[in-house]
Amino acid sequence: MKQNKSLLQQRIHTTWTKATRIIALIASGGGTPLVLGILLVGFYIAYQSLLTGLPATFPFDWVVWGILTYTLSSVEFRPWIEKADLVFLLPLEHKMPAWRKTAFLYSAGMAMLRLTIVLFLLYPLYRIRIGTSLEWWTAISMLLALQVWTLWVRMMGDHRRLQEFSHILDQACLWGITSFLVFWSLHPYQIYTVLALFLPIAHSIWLYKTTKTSQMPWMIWQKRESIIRHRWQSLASWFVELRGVEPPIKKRTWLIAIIHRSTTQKEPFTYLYWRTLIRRSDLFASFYRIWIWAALFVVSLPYTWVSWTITPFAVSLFVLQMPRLITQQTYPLWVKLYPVSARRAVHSWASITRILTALLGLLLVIMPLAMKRVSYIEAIILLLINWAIGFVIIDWNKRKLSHSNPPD
Amino acid sequence: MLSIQNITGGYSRTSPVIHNLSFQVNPGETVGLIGLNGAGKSTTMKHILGLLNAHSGSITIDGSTLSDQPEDFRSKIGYIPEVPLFYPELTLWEHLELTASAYGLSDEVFHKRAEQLLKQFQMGRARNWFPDTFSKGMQQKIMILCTFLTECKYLIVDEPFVGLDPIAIDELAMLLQQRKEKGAGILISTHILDMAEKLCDRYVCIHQGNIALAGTIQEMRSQAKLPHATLHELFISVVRGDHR
Repeated sequence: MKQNKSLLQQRIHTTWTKATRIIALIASGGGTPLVLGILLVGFYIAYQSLLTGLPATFPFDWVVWGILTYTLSSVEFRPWIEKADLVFLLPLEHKMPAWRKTAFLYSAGMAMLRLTIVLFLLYPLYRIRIGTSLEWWTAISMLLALQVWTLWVRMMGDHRRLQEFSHILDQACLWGITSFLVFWSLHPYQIYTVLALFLPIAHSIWLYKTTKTSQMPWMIWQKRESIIRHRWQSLASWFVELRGVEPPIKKRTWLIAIIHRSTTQKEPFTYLYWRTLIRRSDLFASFYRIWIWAALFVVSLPYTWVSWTITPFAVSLFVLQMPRLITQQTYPLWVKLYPVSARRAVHSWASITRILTALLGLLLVIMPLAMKRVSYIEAIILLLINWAIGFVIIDWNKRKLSHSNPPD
Repeated sequence: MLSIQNITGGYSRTSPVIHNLSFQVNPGETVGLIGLNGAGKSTTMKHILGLLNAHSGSITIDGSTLSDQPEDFRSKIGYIPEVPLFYPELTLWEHLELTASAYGLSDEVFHKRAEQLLKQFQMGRARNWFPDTFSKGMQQKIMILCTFLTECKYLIVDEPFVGLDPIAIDELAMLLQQRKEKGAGILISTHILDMAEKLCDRYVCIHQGNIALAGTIQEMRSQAKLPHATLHELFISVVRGDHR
């Protein structure tokens, strides 16, 4: 087992060495630290405005409860299992508990770090509106212990994931018990104490009994590891260019069904690019991240000029990224063999980008309108500005793409 | 006619892999491209498909080159690669729909052919699955289904039988035969010489990037001066250099 354990430690060490290099590369880059700095200052100002601006009747404790329940329940066990391990480590399955223990300790450390950051961010909200410092520190110690328990439940639950009903039941138990315990940690009333301790213990015993003879979920853990890796790589690729990263495929059946009914099936590249965008590309995530990010700024900062600057900026940010759908996405060589010109590929790209830009422009205007930052007339003008900026950038990119090499 | 004239080429300009190759594939015939691993078969096919640029020589389909009429040239060629190449984000059915749309098939023709092919290759239950969950043989079937969905005049088929189950091998051989009877020209590369003997009318035997033997089995026997040799024996004699 010593060899297995050192393999895991080596893997963790290599990953962190690479991550440190990427962080150093980002930090040494000219613009990124500056943009991040501005964003942090912006976030701080927005948070301050939120604390003072919201009415006293706003249900702060429910917001804190919801955020903490999500943070604790959505924790992930990182197994560090790679594809090749399904061949080379499989014969050593009987020696894998030590691997699992180390991976668990690592995951617990990371989960507690994440929880600490969330608690640090929630602290001003808690202190001003909910409780005292002493109560807060009491809650923290209970929540950290709870985080280790939820991680253990997640890890053990992986052994039962092949049975669909068991998995749903595990999820329900985890979220239910966690939400109850978080509520109790924030409001430690005597009456709940016995129940609060009884529930996780009973659930743990039941989970242990039902999984103690089950095999290691190799395939689930290998898939999880690749998703976790991709998530970090995807985050890093916002700042530096990373090659050879294969994203996981997301089915998104309902969204594909909408696209299938509402767009033409006759243009092959339109057909392909929609599916690539929705199921495989980071650009889809960019779309809603940019929207949420801009909406948060509009909600948090009660100034009209914020809406007038943030929304066109958000549209530009999205449109400028869209050429990646052609230039950075890897397609098999079929795209070169189809009897379809590269001009039609660029045309398909432009039509998809126009639709998304129109939608994003509209979604971005709804928030300032709902928050009464702008009037109806101003909202229409803002919408037209968003669309105009987006469409100008699209045309500029279209010309650039048409003059470059055909897509590959 | 698919005509390859004096093609020299490869992956770098300084060291060509194939040297001065010339042969034709006529409509309604199957030509077998045979040779050892690394002989230059796949490189030749990549040149025909326009994935590699030849150092010298020309490739024409019915008189026109890829640079003259790219869309017309491409619409006449169907390709089954040796290694399955698929879009991980598309299901099997979506691969078929995309191919139909790229080659401009009508909905009616598409549905009729797609359903028939799915049934023929026993892939109906997998129509809405993503190909990364398929076995290698099933992934290869995607390539076959997409190619036979179109009515291309010429088929370039690279090691098509590798990884297929016996029923799929029979079905593929039958489809290739049917396409030939309908007038398609087929260039097929394979190591399975028994299958090549069954399917091919003529052969081009490549060794170290040069054509060592070419023609019908009779013509190759006289070129190799082995009047009673089988295809297998001719192939062995070429790679051992006996006939030179």
